[in-house]
Parts: sequence; C-alpha cells; structure tokens
Amino acid sequence: MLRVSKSRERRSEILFALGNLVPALVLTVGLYALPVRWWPADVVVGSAVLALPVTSAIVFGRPALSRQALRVGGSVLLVVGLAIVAAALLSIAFLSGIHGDFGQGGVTLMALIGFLVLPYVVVYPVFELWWLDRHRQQGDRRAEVGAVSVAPAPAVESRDDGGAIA
Amino acid sequence: MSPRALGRLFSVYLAALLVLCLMLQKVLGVDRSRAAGRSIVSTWAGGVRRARVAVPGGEDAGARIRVALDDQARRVRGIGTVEDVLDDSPVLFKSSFLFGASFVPARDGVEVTYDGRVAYATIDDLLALKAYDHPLVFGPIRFQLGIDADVVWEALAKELGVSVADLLEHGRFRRLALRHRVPPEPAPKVTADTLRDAALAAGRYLARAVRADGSYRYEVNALGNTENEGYNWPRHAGATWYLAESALYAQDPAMLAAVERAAQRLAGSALMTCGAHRCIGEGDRADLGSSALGLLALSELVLGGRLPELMPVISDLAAFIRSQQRPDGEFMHFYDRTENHPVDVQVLYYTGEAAFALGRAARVTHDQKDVDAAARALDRLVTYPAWYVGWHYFYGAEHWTCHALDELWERAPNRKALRFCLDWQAFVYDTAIWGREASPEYDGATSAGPFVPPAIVGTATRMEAAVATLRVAKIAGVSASELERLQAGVDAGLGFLLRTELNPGPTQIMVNPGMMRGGVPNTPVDLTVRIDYPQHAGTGLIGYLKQLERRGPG
Repeated sequence: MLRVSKSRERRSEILFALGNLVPALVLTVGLYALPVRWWPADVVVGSAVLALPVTSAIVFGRPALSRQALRVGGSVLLVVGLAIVAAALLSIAFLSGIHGDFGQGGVTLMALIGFLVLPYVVVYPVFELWWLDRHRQQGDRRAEVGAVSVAPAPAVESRDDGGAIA
Repeated sequence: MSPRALGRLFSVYLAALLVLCLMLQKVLGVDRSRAAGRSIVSTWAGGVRRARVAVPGGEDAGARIRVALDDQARRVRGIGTVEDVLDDSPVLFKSSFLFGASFVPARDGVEVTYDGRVAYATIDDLLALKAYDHPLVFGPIRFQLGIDADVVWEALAKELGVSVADLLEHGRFRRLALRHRVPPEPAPKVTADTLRDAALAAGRYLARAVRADGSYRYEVNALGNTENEGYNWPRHAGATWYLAESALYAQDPAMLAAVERAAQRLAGSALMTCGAHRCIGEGDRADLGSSALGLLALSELVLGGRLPELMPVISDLAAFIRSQQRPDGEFMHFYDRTENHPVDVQVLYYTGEAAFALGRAARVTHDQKDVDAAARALDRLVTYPAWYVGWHYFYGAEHWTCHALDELWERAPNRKALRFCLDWQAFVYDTAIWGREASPEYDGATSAGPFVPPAIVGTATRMEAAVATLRVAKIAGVSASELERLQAGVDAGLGFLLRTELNPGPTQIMVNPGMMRGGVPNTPVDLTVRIDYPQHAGTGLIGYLKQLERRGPG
C-alpha cells in the first residue's frame, strides 16, 4: 500500500516537473517577444526561465531532492505570476487612465488575456505549492506513525525462574 | 510558510496593487467634458503651420480667440484653427513605447515646458506629422498605441531649438485633451441630404482621380497629395462601378465623362483573351475578380443608358465567368492564359463578386443562365461547413455575398442567404465600437482593436452589406426587432462614415484639399485614400440614400 502511494507521488512530482516546463516555455516566448527591453523585467523573467528547467531537471535526476526542487520552481513561478498579474493590472489602470472607459471590446480582450494567463502563472503554482505542503504534512505524519510502530517495546524485566512451579 | 501566512501576504499584495492602480488611473485621467481652460490658435498655409499662440480660457475667451485669429490673418494668409485644451495630465514615462502609449490618437496633444518656454504638438500637428499612424508589427499582428514618440520629440525639439536628448532630460511633458473649436468637429446626422452630399463627394473624388488614359490615381496621401506606387485591376473595376452608379445618379457630365474613360480602359487595353472568352486583367494569370467587377461596372453603365456599344464585351465577360464555375456553384478564381485552363483555387471575395456581377449583368444580357449561375454561387457561399473557422471565406469580409442576395432577391430569393447576412450584421453590430469614452465619434464603427482608431474601409464594406441586407429584410418580412437593430447599426455606421470622409476633412494640414475632397481615408489618423475606400463607403451611402428616397418624406 505504501509502495503504491509512493509511486503515485513520484508520478505527481514528474507531472509537476513537466508542468513547470510549460510556463517556462511561454515565459521564454514572452521574453523574446516583448516590444521593449527593460532590464528589471528581463532579469525577473529570465531568472524564472532558467530556474524552472533547472528545478525540473533536478526532479528527474535527483529524486531525493524532488520536493525541494519543486518547491523552488513553484515559488519562482508564483512570484513571477504575481509580478505579471501586477504588471497586467497596472497596465489596465494605465490604459484606463489614458483612454477612460475603453468600451466592451477592451474589457472583453482584457478578461480573455486574464483568463488565459491566470491559470498558468497563479492557479497552477498555488496548486503545486499546496500539494507539496499537504504531502510534506502527510509525510511528517507518516514519519511520526512509522516512528511509533517500529519503536522497541517498553523494556520489561524478564527473569528466569529456573523452571520453578509456583 | 503556512497557507494562512501565504493568504495574508496575498491579501496585502492585492490591497497594495489595488491602491496603486487607483492612484495611477486618477493621476493619468482627464475630464473631456470640461470647458476649455485655454485654446491654441494656429494658422496653416499649404499644409504647414505658420503661426501659433495659446489663448487663456474663461470669460471673453471667444473675443480673445477672434483677436488672435485676426492678428494671425494679418500676418499670414491661410486657414485659422482653434484647438481647445479641455484638461491635461502628466506624462509619467519617457521610454519611447510608454511615452507613445500615453496619448489617445486623434484626441490628445503634447505640451512640453523647457527652460520656461512651452511648445505644443496639437492634434493637427500630430496628424500632419503622421505621428498617430504608428503601428508596431509583430508578424501578422498590427499593434498600435498612441503616438510615435520619436517623431514627436524630434518635432518639439526642433520647435524649441534644442536637441532631443536635452529635451528629454530637462523637458516636462504633459498630455493635453483637445477638441477642435475651429473648424468644428463634423457631426452630421444621417439624412437624405447628408447622404447625398457625402455619396456624390465620394463619386466626384473618384472622377477627379481618373486620368486622361482612364487609369486612376490609385492611392494618394491626402496630406501631400502625393501618389503611392501600385495598381490593382479589381479595384479599378470596383471604383468604376461606384463611379458609374454615382455619376448616373447625379447625371453630372464631368463624372460621366470620367467613368466612361475608366470603363473604356477596362474594355480596351485591360481586356485579354482567356481561352474562348475575353477577360480583364494583366499577365499570364487572369483573376476572376477583375472580370467580375469589370462586368459589374460595364453593366451598370449600360443599364444607365451609357456606352451601349460595350454589350458584346459584357456578354463575353459573363460567359467567361460562367465558364469558371464548378458544378457545385463555386468558381475557379484564376485562369492560366499560357496553358489555357482555369485554376481551381479560391481566395476571398471573388465568388461573391462573380455572383453579384452575373446577377447585375443579367439585367442587360437578359440571359437566364447568368441568373442561374449567380443563384448557384450565392447558395454555395452561404452553405458553409459546421466548423466555420475552417471555411476559406472569412466571416468578417463577405460583403459581396449580401450584395448578391440583394441583387437576386426578386429573381431568385434565397432565405438562407438572408439569414446569413442578418446573422453577420448582428455580429457586426455586437463587435462594433460603442461607448469609447475618449472617442465617442467612433460609435458604430468596426473595431480594429480596443485602443486603436477604427479602419474606415472595414466599416464601409460592412455598411454596404448592411444596407443591401436592410432592403431585402424589409421586403422579406423580417421581425420588427431584428429590423430595428439592423437599422440602428446602419445609422451608426453610416454616421461614422459621414464624419470621417474628407468632406472636407482637416483641410488645414493638406497641400491640396480641393483634390482630396470626398476621399475616404484608411483610418481617422492615416489619411491615405485608395480608390476602393470611397467606392465601399459611397456604395453604402448611396444605397441607403436610394432607400430613403424610395420611402419618401416622413
């Protein structure tokens, strides 16, 4: 039973490692396609583009470090995601300040972009970190239970009565 | 970090972001409903600004403006303009992209203060500099925001006699929300009179564009009255069709003479042999569109009693088009003249154009084969697969289909085609621009993106189709609510066309406004006029005018 559960968790780790590569790819394309170069954006997004494949590679190559690597990858993705959300909302505020109400078309376009971006850069890493946290807690609990089950029985004094019959 | 701590952090992040967004919006916003705080009075001659002064607003502003205009008129002979400054706001960024994005095209100007001196780039200046027409192209995506910062900085630096680097380092920029007081911004209502004026202006523009040899000044930059390179026979033919319709309506001798030159060019040097028939075009590969629109133009003229000697050409062109039709109603869009066979490839428009042209030609050929071929083609056009995205005709551009519907309704009514056109017009209405705060004059226009001025020709093609659909919808007994919505779309869309036609347009920034009168530009900020722009706009305008005239007063 424990072995089945372990292999399922390993499969999830690999799925997360693969999943992290998708936003890494999207961020790479985004970084390349940005119309203006601004070094803070380049540094933040570029770091994520490097960090995500590296952490995924660790998951594949060093299973013992999988959880730590995924935690780093998920955190990096979440930070970049929140930065992108902040940039998007500030852009909308900027455009709204400049153009005023820009009509239904603009709202629809912004909503569409939001719904396309949010699942990958916010919902997915939050889910990943939540899963890691849950399994860390489960792991801790299992460790506690395991510690209880394999602990030596309390010492009882055994005395050889020499076959004496009471 | 525990989930609860993360949640708390996330709440702080959201709250801070919200506050920042609200502050940014508040700082950058302008109120365009305010009274003018000051006015910028300028005088232009030959498309170049010769004088400028800023006049304070408030009481007696009108008198001060008159004095300023008179003063400039004494010094310079030209066109006086007044642009009111309704409000202003800071420009927060000096990166080229973000600076450019800080302005609304055709609504905002730039003010810069440098060393105690002030320079302006008003709407007229920015139009003359073509600074609003500033697309960023990423592959197939054309992205346009605000103004071309580099062009504006260069112009302002020149005006102040400093370098661009100095200007950017020491200049303080502000955005000005502007509105033209003189000349006033056009706001014509859609009436028979305004439609007639605009439709005939478009026709007269085309008539002036016909050269002695019957070819057109194909594409002209309205600012400098300069021609761009290129020519296109389907567009020559389409423009000639509209010129014929407007000239016959007006019975204007100059227009009639021009259209006859353009038609004779079609039926003369543009006519070639395509196997057993004659076709219109050039080179080894003839396209169906040139022959179809050529047939349409010649038929229109002969129907109006002009050039009856062209009847044999009309019959031959109709026969050529029929010979390109497949049994399923679709047309083969090209003809290989070296190997003498049709090429079964389809592109946008040509099948609709052929259906419409055959329907119209049948009125002069009296050949039922033309009507039947047109009806089969129309049916094919509106029998699209369930997975419409994969269809090779683009939903947003099938205006010729609705012309064919209108043309054939009395002889071969097609309810499926009517439904197609009504649905398409509902889509056009739903995706049109409505309620854009900075540019309410765009209401009813076809959107080219949320922050971008609309494409006028896109609106024009949809409106000509809407007008054609409206006529049929009224006859076919379409529900009152659907008719009302269609009518509302037509009124708004044609209203937008009336406002954007160069009738006369911003004459102050043009070298030769007389030549451009009646031209329809590409967009409100790209004043390039190609011959098909007035054609499409004029077709919608005159079509609706004729409907109003048939209905009579009241």
